[in-house]
Amino acid sequence: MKKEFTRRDFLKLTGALSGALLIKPDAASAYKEFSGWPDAYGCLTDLSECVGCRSCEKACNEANGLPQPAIPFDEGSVFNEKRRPDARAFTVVNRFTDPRDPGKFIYRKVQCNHCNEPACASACPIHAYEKTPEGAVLYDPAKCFGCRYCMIVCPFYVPAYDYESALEPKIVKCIMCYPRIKAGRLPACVEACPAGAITFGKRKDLINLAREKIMRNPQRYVNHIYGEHEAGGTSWMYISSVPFEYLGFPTNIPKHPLIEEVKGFLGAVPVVFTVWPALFGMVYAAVKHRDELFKSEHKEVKK
Amino acid sequence: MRKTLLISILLFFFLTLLFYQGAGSVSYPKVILLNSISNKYTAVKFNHEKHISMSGGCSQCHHEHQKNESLICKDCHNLTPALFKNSVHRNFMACRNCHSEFNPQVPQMPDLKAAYHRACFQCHRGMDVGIEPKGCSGRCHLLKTAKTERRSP
Repeated sequence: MKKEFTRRDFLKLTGALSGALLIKPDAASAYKEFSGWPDAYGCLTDLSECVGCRSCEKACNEANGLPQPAIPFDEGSVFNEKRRPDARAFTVVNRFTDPRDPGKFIYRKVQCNHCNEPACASACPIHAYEKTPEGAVLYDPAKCFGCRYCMIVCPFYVPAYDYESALEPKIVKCIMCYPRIKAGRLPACVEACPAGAITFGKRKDLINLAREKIMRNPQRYVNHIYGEHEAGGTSWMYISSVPFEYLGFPTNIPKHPLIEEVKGFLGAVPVVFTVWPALFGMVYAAVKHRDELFKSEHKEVKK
Repeated sequence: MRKTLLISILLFFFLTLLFYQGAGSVSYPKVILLNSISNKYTAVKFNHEKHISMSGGCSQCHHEHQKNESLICKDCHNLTPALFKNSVHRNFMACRNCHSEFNPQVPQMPDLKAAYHRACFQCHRGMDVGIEPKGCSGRCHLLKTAKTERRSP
């Protein structure tokens, strides 16, 4: 007697098939060792050199044609609160109390860190972001439709939304003065810094420079280059005289690009939505066809 | 053997004496006008004499031969300490000879502005720099305005 194709058999078969298909997305993670463009530029901020003069903020404001801030650049009261970059300032300097000496201050400049494999670019549904071979992460306002996924996904809370114009939504952030870099000039903030606290150069040279600085002055620096590995590596890196958690740096960021957290799942989505319907549809059609054949045969027998 | 040792000790003694005298006879500038990058501010009148008495020696601001610094200039100009000292004291090299524009190919070398400021900030940071952002024009710089433009040299 011929065995009926039960519901259980159907689930077994499809389960095995879909399991086999799910192996495929793993092959997509073969390029996960991407560690950035080889000749990418970057900046190294030596936080022990920064004196909090805010020349970088002023230079950034002028270079990008931003509106005058509510609190002038030579006003100290701005340090009373911790600010973050927004549509009116692509870089801000925040003040922290030195954990070793409460009477002293340490300043931290915040701007886009220009990740090697940027989470904002991965999350953007319409590729409005681009990681250039020069290192800068650029954003195209013409493509953006204002979903703000990039704001949610950025581990450094950098992209900001321009609420100034309701009709033309756009995300704003530091672009490492890309046009200036292309013209062979330094980013505006780097050029303006009186203390030379920001060094511009090839990312690989900057890592060597940072290592050398730490090695020569082990009592001055903590042995950590922030941005060398954080989020898979960033173009903008920092060295500091105190551990980075004292300066408001997020220290829970994985050492791999954030896209890898979701790559497996996202790789499975097209498979699930294209292959599964076709496969199950085919199995269903085959089973239905066989049942119809079976029934018609029975009917013929009865007759 | 003993003779060579004696000669070398004597030679060392005399050489030390010679260079000590050489160092003693150097005339240091008293007040220096730092005006090479004064596009925004007026020239800084730097009281060199006063700073010599307060600093812990020339090497606090200037490169000195006995400091075991890793300087890129040493790649080519690998002078012996004596020669270096002699040349520096006879013919002082201005900071801007090497510290000019920042070059990303040589990121370890600060430009002139950074080199100056770093020298100042090692002590002045916390005194008046780094407390309030307007410390700059309080002590050293005067902002160039129509008024100061006329007064500045």
